[in-house]
Amino acid sequence: MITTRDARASMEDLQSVRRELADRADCSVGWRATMAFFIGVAIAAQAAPGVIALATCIVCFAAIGTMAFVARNRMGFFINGYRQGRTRKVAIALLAIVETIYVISLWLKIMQHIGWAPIVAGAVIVPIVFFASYRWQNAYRSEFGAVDDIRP
Amino acid sequence: MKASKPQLDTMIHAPVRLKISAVLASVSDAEFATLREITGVSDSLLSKHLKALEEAGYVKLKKAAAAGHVRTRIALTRNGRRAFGSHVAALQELASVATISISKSTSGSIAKSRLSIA
Repeated sequence: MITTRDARASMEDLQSVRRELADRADCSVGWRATMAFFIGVAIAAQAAPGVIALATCIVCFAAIGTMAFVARNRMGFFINGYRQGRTRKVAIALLAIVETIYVISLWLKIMQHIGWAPIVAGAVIVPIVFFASYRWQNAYRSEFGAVDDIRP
Repeated sequence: MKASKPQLDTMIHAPVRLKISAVLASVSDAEFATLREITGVSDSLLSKHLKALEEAGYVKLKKAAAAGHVRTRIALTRNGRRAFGSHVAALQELASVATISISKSTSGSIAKSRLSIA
C-alpha cells in the first residue's frame, strides 16, 4: 500500500535528484564560446573556395565532436540537445535561425556574388549560439526545478 | 488514440531504483560512477539494482573504453522510459488526491494500480 505521504516523499526524492542533475549539467563560459566559435567558423568558411571550405568544415565538426566527448566524460552523462521537454523548443529555434542565416549567406554569395556574406553570417552566428546555449541550459534547469538562471 | 492510465511500477518504486530511473530519464545515458554519486549508494548495491532493472528490460548497460579506463554507460530503454513516465504520473496523481494499493500482476513484477480515495 502506498500512501499519499509515500508518494509525496517519492516526488520530493525525484525533485532533489533532478535538481542535482541540473546543477551538474553545466559547461564553462570558455567551452560555450569555443563551441560557438567553431560553428561560426564552419559557416564563415563557406566564403573560401570549395576544398578549403570543406576541409575547414570537417575540422570544425571534428572539434565540436571532440568537445562534446570531453564534456560527456567530465560530467559523466550525455544529454541530447533535441531531447523532449522545454529544451527542444530552444534547440529547434536555434537550428532554424542558424540554418536560415546559413542559407541566406549562401544565396548572397552564389546568386548575388557577395563573397564575404558567409563571413558576416559566421560572425553573427557566434553570439547567437553562445547565448542560446545559456537559454537551453536554463530551460533544462527550470524543467527540473532549479530556481536560479545561469548567466554568462 | 486514448492515453494509457498511469500505473505504479514495483520495479521502479524502490527508492534507489526510482533515483536511478529519474537520472536516466533526464539524460541520454549516464556513467556508473555518476549514478553512484547521485544515488549515494555503494558500487555493489548500485550493481544489484541495475541488474534488476536490466533484467526487467528497463535499462541497458554498455561498456566503453575511454582514456585507458573502462566506463560503464547506462541508458533507459524505451520500455523503461515508458514505465518511469507512467510511474511518475501515477505518483503525481496519488500525491495530490489519494492513496493507492499495489497488487502484483500475474505476468511479472509490473504492478497494476488501483486508486481509492482516502
